[in-house]
Amino acid sequence: MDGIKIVPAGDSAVSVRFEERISPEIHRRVMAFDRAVEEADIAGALERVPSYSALLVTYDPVLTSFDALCARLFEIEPRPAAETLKRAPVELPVLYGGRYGEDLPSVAAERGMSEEEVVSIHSSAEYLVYMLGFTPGFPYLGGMDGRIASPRLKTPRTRVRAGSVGIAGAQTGVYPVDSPGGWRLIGRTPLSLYDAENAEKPFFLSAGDTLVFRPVSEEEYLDLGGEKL
Amino acid sequence: MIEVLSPGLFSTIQDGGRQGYMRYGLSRSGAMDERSLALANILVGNGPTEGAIEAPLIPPALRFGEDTLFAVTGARTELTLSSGGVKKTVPMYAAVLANAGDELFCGPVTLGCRAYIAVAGGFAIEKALGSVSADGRARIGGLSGGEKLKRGDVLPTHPLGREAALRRGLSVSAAFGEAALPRSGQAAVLRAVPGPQADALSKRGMETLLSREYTVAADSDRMGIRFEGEQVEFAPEADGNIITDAVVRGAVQLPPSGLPILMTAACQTTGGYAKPLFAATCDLPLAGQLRPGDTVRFSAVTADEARAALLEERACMERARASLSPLCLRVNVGRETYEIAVCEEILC
Repeated sequence: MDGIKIVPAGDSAVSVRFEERISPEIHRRVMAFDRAVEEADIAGALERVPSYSALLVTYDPVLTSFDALCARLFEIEPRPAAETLKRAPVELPVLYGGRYGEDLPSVAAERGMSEEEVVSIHSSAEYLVYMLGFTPGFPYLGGMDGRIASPRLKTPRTRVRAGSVGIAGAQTGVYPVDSPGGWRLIGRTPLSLYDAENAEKPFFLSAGDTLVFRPVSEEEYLDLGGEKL
Repeated sequence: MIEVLSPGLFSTIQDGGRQGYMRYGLSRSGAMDERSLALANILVGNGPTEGAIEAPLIPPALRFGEDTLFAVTGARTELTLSSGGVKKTVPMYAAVLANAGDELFCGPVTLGCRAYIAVAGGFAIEKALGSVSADGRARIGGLSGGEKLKRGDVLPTHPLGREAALRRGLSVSAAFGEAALPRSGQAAVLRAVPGPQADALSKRGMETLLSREYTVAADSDRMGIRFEGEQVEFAPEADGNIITDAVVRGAVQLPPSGLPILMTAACQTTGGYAKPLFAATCDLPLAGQLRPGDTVRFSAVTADEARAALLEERACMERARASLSPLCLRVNVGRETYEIAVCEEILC
């Protein structure tokens, strides 16, 4: 396949590299290649980790080698990105503001708009899940409207609750586990992005998903199993 | 079962790691020194990646609730088995049979960093997402929630099998057991292959990284080993930041500080720093035995050389496994039945 570069990432992984920029088109190529490698079922290939413009493929060096794996990877012809199935967006219910999104008032004030406008802008976009990383199940999302971009807190919180939805600079994201963090919190989802007890589907999102945030009332949030604050 | 009398510094249950979830941001985890994990398991007759206790610097004290066959490998520590108040020294790198009620005390580590304590049959702990490895960030594995061992924890074990009892006394030489430990007073040499962002360094920067000695910093942990030493120079227009991509253990990240970080067993799955180098997989056990203050040097090899060294290491461990599988004979003499275990010498 043309336009890719395959370089070793140590002796047990290769990095398949596409044009180095962040764009949905490049990412679609990464995901199409990811699927094609999965379907090719290459002996010795283990895990695939897609990111913005690269796909890492780990391998068992006893079963294959860099050269042998490269030869197989260069043979792969992914279906054109346009032909790959576009899945319906994944919907994430969010209770915005109040105790559930403490920074919503300050974000709105800084941007010179009402809280409702921030929520409307945040919940009307379709976001692309470029990859998961940083913590288990944390989505790196693209597609946030620049009008609600907001700087991180100067002093990060020592504990941000799992499910918190935040803004950091031009990015938005959701905390899958309790962790320290400096994101500006605007809401909270009652769903778990990461649930190790759910062996069938421990992770709510996958790279390549599109995601929409749906504003919900406190009543619906609680009905969906959200924690009362 | 085994009761934790004192937990040591940061003892956790680790196995061969969690496979298949990196694309979801879940770390592989698993033993920092897979060679010592494998050796401990092989000695007691387990599969090489069975879960064992990984114990850095100050290992735990344990009480055996039943007769238990165990082995301690990895970092050098003095082992004392207390049996009914009588204390005796027992060897590392050997299968030792403890009786119910015996207590195992490990002295502070005197060479290397992490000791491994395996028991025959492994721990009877439920796997979380395919592994018993404790992952504190993901809150899974270990006894529960990815936590380290605590005083009073009870680790369930399997009943001692007949075959396991026959392994009592099997051992490998200390030289073989310690083959992948750092030597005191010498820089550990980590073989390394170029990474995807080798061009982020200037020619001089790469020379620096591949020739200078670096010292393991105090804030190193299971996620990564941070180094202090000479700053590595970036290529013009590079500053160490890249478009975030996938990270695996062995990656040497170079953040804008110019000081390398070796990503290890519990590393994050993504990172935004340049990766000019990758430590060879065969040398990750050695890296897992480094402690703050130790020095290392990176030595460039090709991916083929790194692979060949790994295959040789695996073959050596397989020979060890084969030679530690006792041939059991049952001999009837008159009315008595004798069981005789025959073992080979290890040749590597």
